Amino acid sequence: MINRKKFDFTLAALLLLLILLGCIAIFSASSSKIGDNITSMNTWWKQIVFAIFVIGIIVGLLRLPMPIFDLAILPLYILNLLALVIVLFTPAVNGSHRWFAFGGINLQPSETAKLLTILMVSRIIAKEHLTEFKQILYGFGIVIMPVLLIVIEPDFGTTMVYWIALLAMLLAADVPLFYVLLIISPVVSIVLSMYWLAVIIWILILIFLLIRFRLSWVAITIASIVNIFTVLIMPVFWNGLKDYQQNRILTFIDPTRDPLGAGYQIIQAKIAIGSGATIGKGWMEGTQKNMNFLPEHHTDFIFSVVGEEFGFIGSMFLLLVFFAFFWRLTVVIGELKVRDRKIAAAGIFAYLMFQTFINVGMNIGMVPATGIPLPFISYGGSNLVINSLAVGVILKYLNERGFMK
Amino acid sequence: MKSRYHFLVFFLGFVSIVWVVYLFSVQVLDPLQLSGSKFRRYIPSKEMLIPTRGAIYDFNGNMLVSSISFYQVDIDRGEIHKWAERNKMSLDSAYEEVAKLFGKYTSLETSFVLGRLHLGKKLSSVQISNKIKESELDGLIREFDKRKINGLLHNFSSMRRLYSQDRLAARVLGAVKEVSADENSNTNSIYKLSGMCGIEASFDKELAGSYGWREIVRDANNERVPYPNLKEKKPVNGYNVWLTIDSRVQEIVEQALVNGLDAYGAKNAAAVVMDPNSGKILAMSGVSADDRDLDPNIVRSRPNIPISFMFEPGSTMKPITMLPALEQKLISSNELFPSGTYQVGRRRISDTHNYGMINPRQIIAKSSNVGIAKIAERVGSKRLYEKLISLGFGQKTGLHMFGESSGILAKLDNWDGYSLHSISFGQAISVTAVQLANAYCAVANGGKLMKPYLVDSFREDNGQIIEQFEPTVLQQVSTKAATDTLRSYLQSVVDDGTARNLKMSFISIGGKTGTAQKKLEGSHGYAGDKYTSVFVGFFPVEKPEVVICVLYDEPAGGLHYGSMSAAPTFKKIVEGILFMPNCKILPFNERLMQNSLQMPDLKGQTIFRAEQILNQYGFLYKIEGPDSASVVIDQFPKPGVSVDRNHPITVKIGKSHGKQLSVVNSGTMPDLKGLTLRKALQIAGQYKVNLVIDGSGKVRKQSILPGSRIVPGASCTVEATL
Repeated sequence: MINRKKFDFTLAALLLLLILLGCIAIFSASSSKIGDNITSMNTWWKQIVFAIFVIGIIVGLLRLPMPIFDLAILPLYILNLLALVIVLFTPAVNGSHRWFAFGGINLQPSETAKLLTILMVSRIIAKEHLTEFKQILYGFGIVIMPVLLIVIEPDFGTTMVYWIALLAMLLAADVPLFYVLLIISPVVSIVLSMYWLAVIIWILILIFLLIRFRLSWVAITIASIVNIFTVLIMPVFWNGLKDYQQNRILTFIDPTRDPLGAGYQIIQAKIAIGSGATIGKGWMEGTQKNMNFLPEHHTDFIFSVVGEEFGFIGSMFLLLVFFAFFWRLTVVIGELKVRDRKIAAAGIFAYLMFQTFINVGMNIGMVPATGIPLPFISYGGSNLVINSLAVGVILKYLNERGFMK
Repeated sequence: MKSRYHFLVFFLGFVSIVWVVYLFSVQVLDPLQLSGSKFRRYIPSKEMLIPTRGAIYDFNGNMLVSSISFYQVDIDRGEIHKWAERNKMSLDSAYEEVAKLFGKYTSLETSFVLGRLHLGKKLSSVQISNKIKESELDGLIREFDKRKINGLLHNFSSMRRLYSQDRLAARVLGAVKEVSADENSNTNSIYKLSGMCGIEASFDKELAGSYGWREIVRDANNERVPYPNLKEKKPVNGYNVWLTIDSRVQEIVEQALVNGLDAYGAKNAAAVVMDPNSGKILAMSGVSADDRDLDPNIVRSRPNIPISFMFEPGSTMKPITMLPALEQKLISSNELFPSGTYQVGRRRISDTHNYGMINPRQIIAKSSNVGIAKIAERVGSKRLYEKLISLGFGQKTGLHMFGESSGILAKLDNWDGYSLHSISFGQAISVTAVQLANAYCAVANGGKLMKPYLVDSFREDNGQIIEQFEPTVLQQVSTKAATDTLRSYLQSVVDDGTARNLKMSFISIGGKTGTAQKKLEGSHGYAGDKYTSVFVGFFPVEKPEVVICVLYDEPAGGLHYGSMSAAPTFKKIVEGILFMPNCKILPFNERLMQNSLQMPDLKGQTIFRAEQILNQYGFLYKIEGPDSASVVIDQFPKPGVSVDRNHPITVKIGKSHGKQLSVVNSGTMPDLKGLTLRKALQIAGQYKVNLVIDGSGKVRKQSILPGSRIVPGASCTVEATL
């Protein structure tokens, strides 16, 4: 039941606009136009069917009584974990076990697991009496189960989303910033270990921050030793790698090293976007797409199709809609007062924004290709349904605000 | 609490700015020039289009050489596998289906194709053949499209020359070789045919045509995409070269030379037949004793003897020496000259017999060295030298043929005391057969030196003439009176001189024998036992229409005189030409005087060739056998039997059991009877015959009978009923 005073029409409108833009982009991306000869795949109307379906689900969700919704999360989470186990025994598609096939519709349990894990984590770490250490430990414990199952599938790209969502939720759950900093500091050290100057600045910043926040000397010492050790071990580790292993990693960082192999997708996407120039080539006219040079153009690389066909102006418009959407999300998260709902909303926000960030970054060649789709825009039924449903959950929370827990 | 969200908003803002800046720089500033065409995208690439090398025809439009293109056909077995899955059939039966298509539309065996498809048991591409003809490929593409089978990959593979008349005029036509690529394309797989020698090399530019190109767009899977507005430049096929050579005469000449080589044991033989009134070369042939053991392509690449082989003309030079003397009236026809021996300095010139005092006619008829030396003294070095130069000796003839020799004629300044006498009877000068024949043409036609020519015209495929060569008079080298006198002298060589064996009751022939010792290579001396035997002559003497020069290089001892080897061959050629059908030199009834001839062996010949041979003899004949057959399997009377020309000959034809030439012999009419109109049109297309269709259904009658000789573009009316 929609409360007219509390329902956030702006967020809902932005969501609908994104889904609509997605349908337009997919119609072009799933067609190939050469001369006056257009051949289309059937993906675009499937996407429209899914869009209508998910709007129905959100309406249903809004009418669902809050207690039932709260009660359903734990059993659904456990069922989802079971599904993640069972999916490992399905036949492999492209070398990985990710999908249940039900008469033409493929279900991907790792997508539903994202939302359910976020809701589950928010439920656990929101409890008032937990120490910071326990919050981190429990959050980690709940996330690691689906992550391990997904790694076995194997699907590495998706698992990053869980960690980002967990970090955001810990932040929202009032875990001090420097704990979070300490958790991620070794990762930063590994990335920076290639540039000595950056490493020294990073270590100085780290020590300054640790002292500034007056942590115990034990914590400071452990953090410093772990980071310095990481930095020192990296060159040794690097030199110990075989040539082809080094090459593989370098190509991951700089795709132009291997233009026909690992770097192919990134380079073609960059060419597509760059060739769109200011106003683009026009809807349906993208040659990179039409000639199949751009791989996965209706899923992972759909942003490149937008960039090629609508140019700088078109991609700016899409980014602007995304920016407005996320801006609106940050605004409304502030209005949520119930602790677990706020944490969940922060997790959903981080999860959506991280996917957008990675996908756009990968399309413009700033982030290595990881196989993460663009929320609401990329083709994919499970993807669209779960992302929209996640926004639907926030809409529900907003709709229910002011009520007692 | 609030700071948390500021942190997130700060992060969001930072990311947004990075994106905007990045996109602005890449898309608007475009520092990588990505909006240009540097990268592999939809840029059209050029595909070379190969022109067809022009064909070579004889004067009557019989095809001698044509081109045929072959394509390489590969099958992508992965696509066949997909097709099999779509149609729910097993891979093996899909392969069988594909192999059947090949069996139906190409000359390949079904089992062979099946074997290729099963090769290696993989799903990769496999080459089926690189000898698929264009017509076969068209059928395959159509069928594959109809059945929606992908995976038929085809590519231009090679071009071959097809010799319709096998070895006929082999050395004149010359050979071709494959040269890789044209400089405009960067692919090495494309090559063109380039002439190595003969007509192929001399007129390579006209025959070759020019490459065309077509822009093609390939998508990321390297498949061609039908992109609109692509540019194309059609290839220009090479012009067809029509020679002045008459293949009937050529055949007569070659047969005579081959027989002569056997009979006289010579090393090489050559002959040139010219029309003295126009300078047209009607036949030109050179044969070596070992030719028949060699591959025809090797023979084609050998030197064309009539234009490349230099020899001392011997006595055939005597009439040439006589010409300025007659022209300047330095001698009178009753004047007597001594013969026998003549001492010039330390050199002794002698005749085979002492004829006593003889007149100029007898000097030529008896071939007296002493007599002609005396006349040469009267002519003088300067006049003789000028006459020789104006007749074209020591220079190329202007045939523009590859590998032509200029002969050897020393400059007047370099003549020594003996040169004048030597040259007067054909020593110390070297000529080619074409030079000699052309000089005699001037004698035969009343003193005009014609420019000899071998190419009549360049034409396009539709018959349009691009360039027509006309007879050219180079200069008037002598007076009509002098040449008329000289012709009568030359007739007495045949009537009562050294070549009496040539005499024929029904035609007057003039000519001169020549026998020259071969010069030893690299020295001044002469080989004692190596001779060149020459005969050059013309007929009819009153108004010569044909000049023939016959040459034997190193005939066996005893047969080395011009009168013993070259002259009989000359006679055979003359007979052959006179008894050709449609030969207008002799009226038909005069030809019938010669009415007893030996029956030739026709077995194994195609019907087209058999008819040609029978026509050459002027036989009446009838053909028995199924219409579809094209090879002679029996004949009556049997070969070698003497037959009366008026007695009809029966030729039986049937299916040949030996190798069937699978190539389209576009010179003969195909049998269309019993075929559907659609199929008939298809076949007619291959043979370049225009069909005029009357009725519908199956072809019952065709206006041009199967096996008839046709020229491209001929029109044939077919009657069809259901």
